[in-house]
Amino acid sequence: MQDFVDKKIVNQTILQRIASGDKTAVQECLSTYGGLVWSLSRRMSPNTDDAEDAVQEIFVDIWKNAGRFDEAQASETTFVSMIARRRLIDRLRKTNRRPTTDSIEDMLNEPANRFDEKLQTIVEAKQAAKALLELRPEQRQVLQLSIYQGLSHQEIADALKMPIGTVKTHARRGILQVREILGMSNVKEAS
Amino acid sequence: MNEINDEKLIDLLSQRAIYGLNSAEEHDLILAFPDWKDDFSFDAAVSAIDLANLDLSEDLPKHLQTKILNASEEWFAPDLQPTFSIKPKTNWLGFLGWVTAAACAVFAFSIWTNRVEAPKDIVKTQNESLNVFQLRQRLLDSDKNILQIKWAKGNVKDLPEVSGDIVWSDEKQAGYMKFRGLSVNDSNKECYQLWIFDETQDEKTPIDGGIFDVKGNDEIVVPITAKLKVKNPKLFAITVEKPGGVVVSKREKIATLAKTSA
Repeated sequence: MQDFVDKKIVNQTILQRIASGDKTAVQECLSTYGGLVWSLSRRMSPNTDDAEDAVQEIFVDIWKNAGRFDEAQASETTFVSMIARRRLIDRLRKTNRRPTTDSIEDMLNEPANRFDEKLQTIVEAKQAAKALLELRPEQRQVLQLSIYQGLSHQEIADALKMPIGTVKTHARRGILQVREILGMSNVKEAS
Repeated sequence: MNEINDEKLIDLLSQRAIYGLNSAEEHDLILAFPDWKDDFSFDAAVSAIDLANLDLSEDLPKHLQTKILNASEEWFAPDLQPTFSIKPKTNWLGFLGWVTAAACAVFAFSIWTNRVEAPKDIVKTQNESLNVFQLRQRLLDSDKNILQIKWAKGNVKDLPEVSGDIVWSDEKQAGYMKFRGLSVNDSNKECYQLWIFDETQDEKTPIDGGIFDVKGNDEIVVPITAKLKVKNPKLFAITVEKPGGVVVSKREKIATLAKTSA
């Protein structure tokens, strides 16, 4: 019987264990996703203090939403980064602030395949990097400027001297294509 | 495969995934596409793209790990509030008994003492032909099972009585709060925040329904921006919080609330 229980626990994901009230899963959650959440928070927060506050809020969000995680619909890593991004975007919108980034000129001069040079230990990151390489260069550039650098469509249009409608089209088509390549078309929120 | 062909819908979903949507845009999404079944594939795709470029060389600082672990002790303790050094001041359910009685008095003798004005950013919507008042009415007309409850007095003595109601549709996952008499707040010091108690969440972790400011004295309608899916809500409470809102409320200042009769 104990073997069965142990096996059941082993087979559960970290989030499933948290949802079922297993306190020991919290440490594991921090070890596994702490770096990811911290990196996202650092990049999407105006300063370190803000990032520290955000990380704490994100982990509360993760605990609150752990029961909604469905591994058939998305990986745990994707689920955690979705929760983190949502909270970080919400914080930026509420404070009407934005993270400190490079100058637009620096951003535009960054190599288009910068992501390919990073250490990517996350499966989704590798897949997404590959998917990005399949996009047209202008689609990739628009997505990089908007997602990584937080530039608005208008700012991208100004920087690239491109009509805003074209920027939106590149963003839309780029996301649709990545979504399709990664097989994410059926990801639904657990109810 | 869940094919989405409408360009406006794809635009809104892409925008939501990259930048987030404001209240009006969220409601535009819900109301303009009533048959669309929410999915988060766009958020998942954008998150994956984000991961592809993320520098993961830095670990979570030790002091933050400790803080979060300490907070988790509270979170998993059955009788404590889940927060970072926040303790409960008000028992929501215990509060309900007198709320029912107070509600009768409030609405029988509703005195409009402090007119409020709708913030411009809330009234503005992508659908230029409809303002939030009209969107509220359209929602009311579109769902025969819609929930509509009047506001009752909260726990803050010096706040004037509030009239108006809250409407919520589980089917559309949309709703609006209408207020008259809710005090103008100094947005540099505080904001109002909605909490939704439903059957999916524990009483100690109600759903965040969004923040808003009251900037004037006219009647206002504020769209609800629930952060999670709401199912069969029982109670809506408006608390006064620090600017930007909070993750977990201390529940010290409850400006007004609305409770279902069930």
